[in-house]
Amino acid sequence: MNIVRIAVKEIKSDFRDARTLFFMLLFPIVLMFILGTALSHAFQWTVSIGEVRVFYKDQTAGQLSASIHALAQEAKKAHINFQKVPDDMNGKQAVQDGKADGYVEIGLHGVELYTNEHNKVKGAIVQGVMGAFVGQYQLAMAVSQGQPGSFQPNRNPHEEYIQERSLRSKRKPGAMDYYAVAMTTMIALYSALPGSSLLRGERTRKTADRLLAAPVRKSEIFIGKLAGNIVANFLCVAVVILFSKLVFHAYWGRHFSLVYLLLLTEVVLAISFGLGMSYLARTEGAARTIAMVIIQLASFFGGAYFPIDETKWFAHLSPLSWMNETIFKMVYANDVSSVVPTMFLNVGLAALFLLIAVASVARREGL
Amino acid sequence: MLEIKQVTKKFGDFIAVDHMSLSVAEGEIFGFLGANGAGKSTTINMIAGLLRPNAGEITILGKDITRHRQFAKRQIGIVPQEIAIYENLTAYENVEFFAGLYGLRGAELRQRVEEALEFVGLSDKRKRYPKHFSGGMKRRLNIACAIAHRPKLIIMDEPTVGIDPQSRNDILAAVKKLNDMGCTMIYTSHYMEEVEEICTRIAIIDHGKIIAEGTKEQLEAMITDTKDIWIEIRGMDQLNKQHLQDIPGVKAVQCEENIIKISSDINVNHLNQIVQCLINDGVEIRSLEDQSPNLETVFLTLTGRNLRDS
Repeated sequence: MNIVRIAVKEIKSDFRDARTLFFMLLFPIVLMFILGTALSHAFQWTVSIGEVRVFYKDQTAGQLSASIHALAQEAKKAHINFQKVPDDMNGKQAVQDGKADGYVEIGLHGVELYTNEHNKVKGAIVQGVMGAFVGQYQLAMAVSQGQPGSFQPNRNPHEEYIQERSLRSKRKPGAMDYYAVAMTTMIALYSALPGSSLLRGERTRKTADRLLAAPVRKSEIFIGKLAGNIVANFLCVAVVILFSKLVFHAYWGRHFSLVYLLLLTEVVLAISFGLGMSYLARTEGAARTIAMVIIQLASFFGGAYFPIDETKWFAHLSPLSWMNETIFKMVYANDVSSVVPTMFLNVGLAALFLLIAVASVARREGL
Repeated sequence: MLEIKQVTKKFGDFIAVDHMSLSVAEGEIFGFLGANGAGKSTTINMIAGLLRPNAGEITILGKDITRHRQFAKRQIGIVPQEIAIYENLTAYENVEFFAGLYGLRGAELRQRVEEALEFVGLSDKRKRYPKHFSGGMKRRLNIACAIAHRPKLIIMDEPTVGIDPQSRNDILAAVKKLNDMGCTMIYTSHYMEEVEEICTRIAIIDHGKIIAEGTKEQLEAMITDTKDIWIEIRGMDQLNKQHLQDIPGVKAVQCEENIIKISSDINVNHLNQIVQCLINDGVEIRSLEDQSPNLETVFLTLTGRNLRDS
């Protein structure tokens, strides 16, 4: 009962503290709004290409010619317009002049492709299409040479031989979606600050002696305060999520409860880190400063302010990196495979910091 | 009520309390007098169960507090020297929270909280936050938090530090009233007149030991051979304190601004020598007063220090 009483007191105190409300509620919401609005263009995932025009000159006859013709017919569906040009026309010049996005010359020695450097996207598309065509054609030739008559290139021209399963989902996060996640995981990490003054604050406030003079065990005080602080900070995180979802219309996917559970483990990690730090540092101010510096670095390298290249080694040092990655995979790729490992990582690290705090409290006569 | 037997407390090599023994009877207001670092707070913290003695035994109502920790804690209410309240809880919530830790629940809890706030005169401020309180009001709330569970022994550690005279009088009246209601009190203060006014028995602590213990009269009787001479002077910078201390019969010399306070043997008439000494030092005497012993004299005589300056 004392644990509940202490926890309730803690929650009440936290929500009446202007600093808590500012840091845990106002700060992430304002940042989410500013970054989500200001950087919205950086998160545009669609590019309008328009029609792709390809000139081609066919100096062969037979199998390759028929295949090229079939390709031209199929490509029309994808708004790639293959246009056969007369023999006397300079196709390379046409590409240089911007009249075509690509020029294909099919001769006895093979296929030659020219693209315009000024329009790399369209050039890449033509290159991709031709690369796939040549590969498929060579494969067909190899098969037909092994078993003549077994391959009929015109039988089913749009048959798919390779099925591609993309690791990226069709839905991509917009700026607000990104910062909703990034700010929420960052603010969960900010729980380290109240954590750093969780028990030390009782000493500086002089209420520690009054608590210990009451018929309450140290363990009850410890658990009550820890539980209360976790609940208070998690409630702030929950409010930020709901606000981003309802007001900013940020997308949080279908695994809402898993997202909450994951963030709860991050709050536990952050508070435990702050608490552990309060016993490792000499003063409350020092503990707070260390926690603040680490939070800022973790936020920066964890992609809180702008996306970080995941291939960089330092990107994986921040708890925000593994939190954000797990949440984005869960929300946008429906992939929950890394949820449990991330939770274990958070809880494991939290246990380590709690162990430091428990050992320190046990050694002391006070809190 | 309280028995301390040969209690010792060390912090590393420093002995804060050294084989201390004392007993406080039920219904007493027991005063602790001691300079900073004398061992008062350490003793109080051991009684309240905040510190464990290295040796010795402390019993409350006949039960050892280390073996019956929870029982002992329920009998005690502590008013710490520093104000120990939560700024983000209202006056009512502060008292309710601490009283709740003593196992009070429901209607009983609410009634006790109301009583405690009424007792300290904060009933009408129950919904206000302490950050809006004056120093005196905070001190009174500090007391309310310690008495709501109706402890049998109340420990007050410097409860009147830094407050206005009216609030101080209110607190002293509250101490007497609590005592009249049957509470045994342990009271520490830097203000000698407070201790003189309310305490039925007094212990003087120095270097972790009780160097004198008894009623005010008993303590004064210990130093009946000492009197105080107050001299107002001009030219303190010309005074050589050692010259006064060298005069036979002078026990202690205290200088404060333009006042010299000399504690001396009551049986030695050395007024002429003192005056001559001051004249020789080139000091101008403006007034001179011979005082009979009081608690302050007792403290100064026994410890060689002035309580408020220590």
